[in-house]
Amino acid sequence: MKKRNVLTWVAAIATVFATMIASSACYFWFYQPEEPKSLSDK
Amino acid sequence: MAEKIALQLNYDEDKRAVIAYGLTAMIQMVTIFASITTIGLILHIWYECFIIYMSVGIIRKSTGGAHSKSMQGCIVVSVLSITGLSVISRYALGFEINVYANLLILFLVFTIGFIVFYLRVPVDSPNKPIIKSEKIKRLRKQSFILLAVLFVISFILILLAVKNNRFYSLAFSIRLAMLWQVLTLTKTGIQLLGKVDAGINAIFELG
Repeated sequence: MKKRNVLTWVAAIATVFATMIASSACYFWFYQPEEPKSLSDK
Repeated sequence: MAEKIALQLNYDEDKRAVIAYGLTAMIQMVTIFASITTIGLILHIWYECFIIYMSVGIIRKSTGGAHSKSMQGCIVVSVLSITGLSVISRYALGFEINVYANLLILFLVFTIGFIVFYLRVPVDSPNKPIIKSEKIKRLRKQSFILLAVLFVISFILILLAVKNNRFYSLAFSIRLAMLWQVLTLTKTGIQLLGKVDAGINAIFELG
């Protein structure tokens, strides 16, 4: 149960991060992986 | 890791991809920050490193710029550029100079920044193309606002340097961050960084 909670938190933080980056031109520094289709805002 | 999380929480492929994308960004940011903090504390350039890391990172989110083909290439180029520019800022430029000369350099650097931003922003990448005209307009507007904010911060730091010498180096850090970001927006800069990135990736592949 505890492990599941930690994973839920990690997933939530990662999703917030991904959504924040989606509206920008690129990642914070040099590497830019392929953007997931569900976040794409070309 | 994203695979594991998606499996445990019964997420679909879309959610897994979003988590992987977010996790990659977080790992990249934390790794670069931890590396520059370690080197910065050893070489007494932590403030310069932090200013350059934040300035370039925040501007890039609006302007885009040259990209690395791999995570390891990105981390090596980022850490080397941040610490290299910080060393130059602290130990080669961070000395007392005439306030008017300092302000003249500020105007020159930001004029170059303004021209390159006007001509090139936003510079997208194949992995995140920017096509919508509204998005281009928004990113351009954000870029010019950030340019103005950094100009004002640099101006204040230059004035503070008159009272405390430590600010000479911090003021130069922002100007060097601006010049570095300008370089990554130009075609020459993109080609140059592409070659450096290819070299780093070749070394990693050999290892």
